[in-house]
Amino acid sequence: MRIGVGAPAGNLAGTGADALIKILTTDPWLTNRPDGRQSERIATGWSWDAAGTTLRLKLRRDVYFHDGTLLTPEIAAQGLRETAASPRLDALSFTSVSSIMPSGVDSVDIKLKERNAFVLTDLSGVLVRMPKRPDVGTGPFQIAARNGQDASLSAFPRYYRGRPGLTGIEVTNYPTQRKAWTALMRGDVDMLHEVSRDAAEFVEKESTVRAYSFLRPYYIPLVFNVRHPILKQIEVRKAINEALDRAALVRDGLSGRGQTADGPIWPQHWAYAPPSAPFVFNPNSARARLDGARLKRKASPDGTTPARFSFTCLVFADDTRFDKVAVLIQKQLADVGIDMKLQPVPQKELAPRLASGDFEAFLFEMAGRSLSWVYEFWRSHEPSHLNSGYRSADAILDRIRGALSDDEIRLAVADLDRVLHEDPPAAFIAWQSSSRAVSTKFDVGAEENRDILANLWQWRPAAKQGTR
Amino acid sequence: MKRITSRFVLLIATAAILPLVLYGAVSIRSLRIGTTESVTDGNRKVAKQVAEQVNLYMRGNTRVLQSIGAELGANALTPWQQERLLKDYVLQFPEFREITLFDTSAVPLVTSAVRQTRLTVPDIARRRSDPTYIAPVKVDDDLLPTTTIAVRLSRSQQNSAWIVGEIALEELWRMVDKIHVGNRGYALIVGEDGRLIAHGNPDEKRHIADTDQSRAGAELTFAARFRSTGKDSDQYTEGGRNILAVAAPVKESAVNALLAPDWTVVVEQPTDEAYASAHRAERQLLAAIVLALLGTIILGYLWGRTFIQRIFALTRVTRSIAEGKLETRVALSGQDEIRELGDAFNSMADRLVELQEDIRKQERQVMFGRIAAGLVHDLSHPIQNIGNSCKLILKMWEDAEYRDTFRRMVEREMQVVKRVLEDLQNIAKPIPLERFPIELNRSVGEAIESMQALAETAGISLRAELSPEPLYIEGDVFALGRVYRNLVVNAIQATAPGGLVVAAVEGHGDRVQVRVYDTGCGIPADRLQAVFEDFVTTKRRGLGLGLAITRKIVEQLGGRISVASEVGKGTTFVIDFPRTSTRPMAQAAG
Repeated sequence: MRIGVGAPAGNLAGTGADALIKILTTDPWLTNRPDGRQSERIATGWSWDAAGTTLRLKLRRDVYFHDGTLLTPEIAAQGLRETAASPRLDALSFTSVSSIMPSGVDSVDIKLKERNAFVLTDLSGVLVRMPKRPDVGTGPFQIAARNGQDASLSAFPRYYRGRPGLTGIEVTNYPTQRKAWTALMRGDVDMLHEVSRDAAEFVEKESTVRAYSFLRPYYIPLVFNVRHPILKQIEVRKAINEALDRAALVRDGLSGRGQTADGPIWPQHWAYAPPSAPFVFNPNSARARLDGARLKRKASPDGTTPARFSFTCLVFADDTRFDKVAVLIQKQLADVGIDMKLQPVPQKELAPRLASGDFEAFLFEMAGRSLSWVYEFWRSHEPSHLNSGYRSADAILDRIRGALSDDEIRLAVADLDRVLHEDPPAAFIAWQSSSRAVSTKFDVGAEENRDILANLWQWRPAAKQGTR
Repeated sequence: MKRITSRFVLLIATAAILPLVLYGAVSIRSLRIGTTESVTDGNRKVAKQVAEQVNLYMRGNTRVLQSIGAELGANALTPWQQERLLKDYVLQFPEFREITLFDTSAVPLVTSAVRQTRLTVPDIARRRSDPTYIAPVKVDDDLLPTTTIAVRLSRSQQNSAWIVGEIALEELWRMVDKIHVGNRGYALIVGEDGRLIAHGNPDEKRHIADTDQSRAGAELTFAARFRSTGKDSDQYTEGGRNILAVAAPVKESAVNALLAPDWTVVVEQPTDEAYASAHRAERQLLAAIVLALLGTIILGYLWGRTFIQRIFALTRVTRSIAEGKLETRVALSGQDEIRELGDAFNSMADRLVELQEDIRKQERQVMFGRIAAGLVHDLSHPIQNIGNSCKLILKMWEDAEYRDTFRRMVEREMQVVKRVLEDLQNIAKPIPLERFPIELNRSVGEAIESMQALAETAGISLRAELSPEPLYIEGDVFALGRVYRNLVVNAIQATAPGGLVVAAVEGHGDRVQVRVYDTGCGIPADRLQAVFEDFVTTKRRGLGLGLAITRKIVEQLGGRISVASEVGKGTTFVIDFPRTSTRPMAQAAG
């Protein structure tokens, strides 16, 4: 099978072809279900001690690495220690880990310095790799050749869940989703990792390709730097939230492929509850709030936009997917007298600026399925990937992190929702729908509204394929 | 001989089937021609409508840019206002990927793009004086077709000179996607350079992004041919299917050709679908014709069978009558001429029976007359002799010599009477024969000798020509004597005085022949074969039984008899027997 991925070069780590290759060649310790709960994978069970500071993982005993090595508790502990030594974005909770030791023939004990429920959550993001050999995983496919973002994968016959249905996979990266789509149209690839919104309607009409749509656990926020002299005012941020017609943004900016967001909590998460007082599109109220903040519209002597105030919003220079949303937001904010300037910034430049707080606002997508991601983005800490200066939700997010019961988490999430509305760090715009397209030459056996990549190891060539 | 059934088939074929088949062929041909024309016309209209839509779409886009130009000209807008205006238009008209305003030096002033503009003012547009220019289709970085429209602004619009918009032509895909001709007919748009811009068939869209456009198939070839020759309809085969294609130019339908791109709209439809209704009608027509033919044949068969059966009945009865079964009659149904023919035939048969009875009656009468006359002839002479002698015996009773003569005369005549009666008897039943070995020279010699007196009386020279060697056969002496007598007497009677009658004996291998020939009057050829039949004679009188009895005896003895004659020269009878090696008992004993 040939898979085409449309992602700009220099895209965020963990996305695009690189992320797909990881999914195909490695396994996480646990699986993150759509509702945010964990289920078994390499680890078949887990338990906390009474204090909530030791997590015991029970491991499968039939897992082999691609080099033929059997996964043992010792190897598992060593791998987890490597993760803890240099925690990445998808496992930041491992900073709470004090020690990791093998326990018996099939267990590993993770001791924490403090209570941190996100360690368990993050285990669904931590990949099982051979210590000191990150290219050797336990996934259904193994890397046969690698060329930058492109890779040639072959089936791993000793995969613990069963032999993969496909003998091999070729992953090709294209600079844009649109270009990947044209590759699919030409028949250069059999699967489109992600169908661009513009192309979705055409792909769905093709008879030789089947499209599988699902709500992606990524939301689009307009993130404010609350250190900005004007954006630091809560009323201004509330005004911006009220000035945005999210339904129109989804309809016109995302071609209707998504749903409005009312916060960073994944709407399918088990702890999610609709907010009691969500932001409603009300430009008059927004204007009133801005008036109340003494932000009057004033003419600009240099010919720039006459506005109440201006701020600059960073957008990815290499990724045009959110341009339309950005322009629409720009227009909607202009309607209430706010001049939002758009500044495309290359990804290499953007990440350091976000981490250092060198921005006024930015617009992109953020991962949001697990609460650990919410914590990572909206809890202030140093160093941080997103240094917006926002601290209002720190205490509540710490409560979530340290909670041991579902009730505690639900209460904390409700409080978080309240705080994010009383003192909004961002305007949460929308959750995006996405779709993948697979040639009918392959039998995918997809579940409704689920990401089909989850069971890619079970795909196989279709028994009979109609020709054009 | 042609049978009447064949003639009937020919009649039905000529009268019913042939016209029906001709009608069907003409109808189907007319239907095909008519359907082809109407379907082509219909698809041509669709193609023109699509071309008109494309034209309207491009004109609309051009007018969007003109509207922007008008707004810029009517209002003194600041750069941020201009940018807002461009962005508003891009949001409002999603087909525009970007709109950029250029100054008189073609330097970008303001753009709707979030990033730096990719657009430039096309060189051709700058060189020409046209108010608008639609650039040829090109493929963008993603290998999809796009085009740009450049609108020249008036001088009053500050220092801006050009407004250029880039259009993603996917919008045209949506347009052609809505066009369905039947279930499998689609529209497609081909650019001025022969590149596929849009294809209504979802499975063929891939060719738009194909770097090798030749893979797009025959539709592009057709579009190119249309552009060069103007032939706007054709049929071609693609993927094993016959396709009917029609083309229409986008430019032709434009009110202002300058605003229209030089593209071609093609509408294609598989012929099996395009002509499906015609094919259905053809099949129905064909079925109707076949049914009509079958009906005609069945009706013709049934009617012909009824008709022919009566003729067959008539034939059978005719043959039966020919075989002598005169009582056979035909019973025909119906009230037509055949029935009349049957009745006439029966009447004829009745009449035939009557005539046959009449003929038989006449034949019996003739036969009776001949027998009676023969008897009279054969018996009157001895009876008369006996009668005359009886009268004389009364006078000459005393003459012992005469009485003796009288006795011999009576005995002789009575022998004649007896022989006549025996002849009659021999005709009716087999002649009793006793076969012994006989030497033929001797038997013939004795017979000839006994008839010398008769020959002399008649003035005929009678002689025997015997074989130098003895020739034996199995025979009856008395019966053979009768045979010789009959043949020789007949010869004497047929020969004028002075003539010759010869009985010659010859041996030929295992056969032995006796030839009796004369120099008499001969027998006419037409009567020659009847001389051996009963009651047939060439003489004026007599029963005519002599030769019939002769043949009967010869055949009973295992021999054959034949005759050859020439009128005026004479007649030859040949009797032929198988030679036997057996010798007479006396000779064998001696």
